[in-house]
Amino acid sequence: MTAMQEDSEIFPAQGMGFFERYLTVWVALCIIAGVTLGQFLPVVPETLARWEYASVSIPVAILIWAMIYPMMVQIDFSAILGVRREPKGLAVTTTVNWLIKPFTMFVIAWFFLMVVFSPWIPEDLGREYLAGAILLGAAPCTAMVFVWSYLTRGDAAYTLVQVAVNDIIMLFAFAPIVVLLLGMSNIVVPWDTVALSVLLYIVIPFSAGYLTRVVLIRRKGVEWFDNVFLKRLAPVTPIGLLVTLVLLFAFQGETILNNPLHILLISVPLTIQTFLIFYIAYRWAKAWKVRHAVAAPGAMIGASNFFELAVAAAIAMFGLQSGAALATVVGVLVEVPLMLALVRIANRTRHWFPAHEAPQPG
Amino acid sequence: MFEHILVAVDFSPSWERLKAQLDRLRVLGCRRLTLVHVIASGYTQAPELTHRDHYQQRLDQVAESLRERDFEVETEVCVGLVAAELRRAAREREAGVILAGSHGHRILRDLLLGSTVLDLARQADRPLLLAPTDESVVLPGTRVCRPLLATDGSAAAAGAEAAFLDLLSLCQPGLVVSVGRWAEHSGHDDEQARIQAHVAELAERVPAGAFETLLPGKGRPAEEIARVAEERAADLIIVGKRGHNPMVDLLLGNTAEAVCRNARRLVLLVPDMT
Repeated sequence: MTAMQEDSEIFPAQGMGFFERYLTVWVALCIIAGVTLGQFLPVVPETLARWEYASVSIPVAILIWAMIYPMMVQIDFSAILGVRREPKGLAVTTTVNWLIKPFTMFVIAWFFLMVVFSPWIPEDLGREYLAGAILLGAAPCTAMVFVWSYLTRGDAAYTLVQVAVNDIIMLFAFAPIVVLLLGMSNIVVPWDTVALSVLLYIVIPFSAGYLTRVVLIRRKGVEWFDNVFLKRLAPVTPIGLLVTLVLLFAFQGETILNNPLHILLISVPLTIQTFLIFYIAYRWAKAWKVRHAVAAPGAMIGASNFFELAVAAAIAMFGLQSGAALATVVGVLVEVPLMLALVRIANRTRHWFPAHEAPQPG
Repeated sequence: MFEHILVAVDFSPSWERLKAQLDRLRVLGCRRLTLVHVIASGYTQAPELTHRDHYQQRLDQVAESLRERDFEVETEVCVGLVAAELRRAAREREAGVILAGSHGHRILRDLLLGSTVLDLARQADRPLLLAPTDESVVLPGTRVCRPLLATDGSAAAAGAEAAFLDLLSLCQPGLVVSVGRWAEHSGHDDEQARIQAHVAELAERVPAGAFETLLPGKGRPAEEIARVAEERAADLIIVGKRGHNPMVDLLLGNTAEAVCRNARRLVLLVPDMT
């Protein structure tokens, strides 16, 4: 066992950057800041929300691109050439992420939000929360997974392959899955609204990110791209995420002040879904004797959500004031504590997997 | 301590300024270098793995040029969180000190992104040598040789004091600085007497005249330390930090953190090893 493994197993948080380590704290502070802003200076969010073009809020669109574009710039899609390496691991995560995860999220969220918690959550609001949960379940993690992979000593190259494959599948699969599951929930979202969301918040950032990457590396070189451009771009996603959350909570103030318990209730199905998906992918990988360095991050990708995209899609489809948007933010709130628990489980069950693993890059 | 230094190589534009510092360290006994480049991975940082060979070649080129200057050099390219990987590499390769470049830091940016240097400083389990790489900083051209010890006489400063006393045999006479509030407020005389007695104990452990003592009685410690270093041409500031555990890591200490943020000299941050 290396020193880093010991570190990870004892103090996983030390293997995390400052922002992600305290993500739950930042989200809690955004709730306070947003609710305060909404209560005492409602003119600010109302004015911002009024700047629209073709029913798209321009400030919100800018914030959402700020969250998603920097991630897409950093995904090296040439990594997809490694797809044939260790196909069992990829088969597990792809199947779990796209054929199991969205549907278990729908069933679990529906059962809790529409049935078990119906005495506390009005039906209409419960349906909006369900929509948010569906959006969380419809896209696997793209950004935080590199943190979880690192903390479990995952194979970084293979994690990148998994993320690149998922992002390409997401281009085509996100809209049909969302429309199908929302339809099953009796939530009508016109196809053109979903298509516009996918175009704005997946296709455009994906294309812009890829083109930026190719052009800048060709013109300015690898070192400038990695060590100057990406470093300048690095604060954009955290700032975009936090400002979006403040704006969102400025609109959600009444809902939260009237129903603070709802945040806790929404977190219940999200927590169960997280552990279930991890369990399915991890046990399947164990049964197929996949390496731990592939199995652990593979299970984490499905368990964790692309919450930046879920927040974006919920705002675009249902609005800043919607219950769907609130539910996606609860996904951000619970992300770090839940995933750190899974990191601990993965590190403590390393012995379940083949003892002699291939050498790790890095 | 300085015989084997692990150098954090980030290939940013400021790397050339950090590289220029390596020759100055020979006087401290540095003979062996391990050059480490970390391909960053984390939240919104997908690792640039296809660039790995490029960075290995660049490290090999740098290593070759340093070997021509009589250093023994090893290299490593690794993937992960930069500060954690540098700590791991230093531990595995048994380097005595980690050397990293220190840019001017903005608190908001550090809060959002974290900072490799501050993460290293907070979690350091061995001495950390920080070289300011901002273009506005003009470092002394001579070899490192006039150390300044900043101490408050506490247990957290014990490691820094030991490192300072060791270096005195290799360097010009040093400086001991302790900033208090005895000139600003009455009632701090005991504090002044305590630090004077503590410095006298340190002086007994080295030959007479090995260092001089300055005890500014007012001002902000980090600013006073920087001022004295500038005025007295000290080129290496040595400070201590608290013990190593997750809670204390968050509380690097106001003075140590301020010195790390604003240093215009080489800074050696020494953890309390007790």
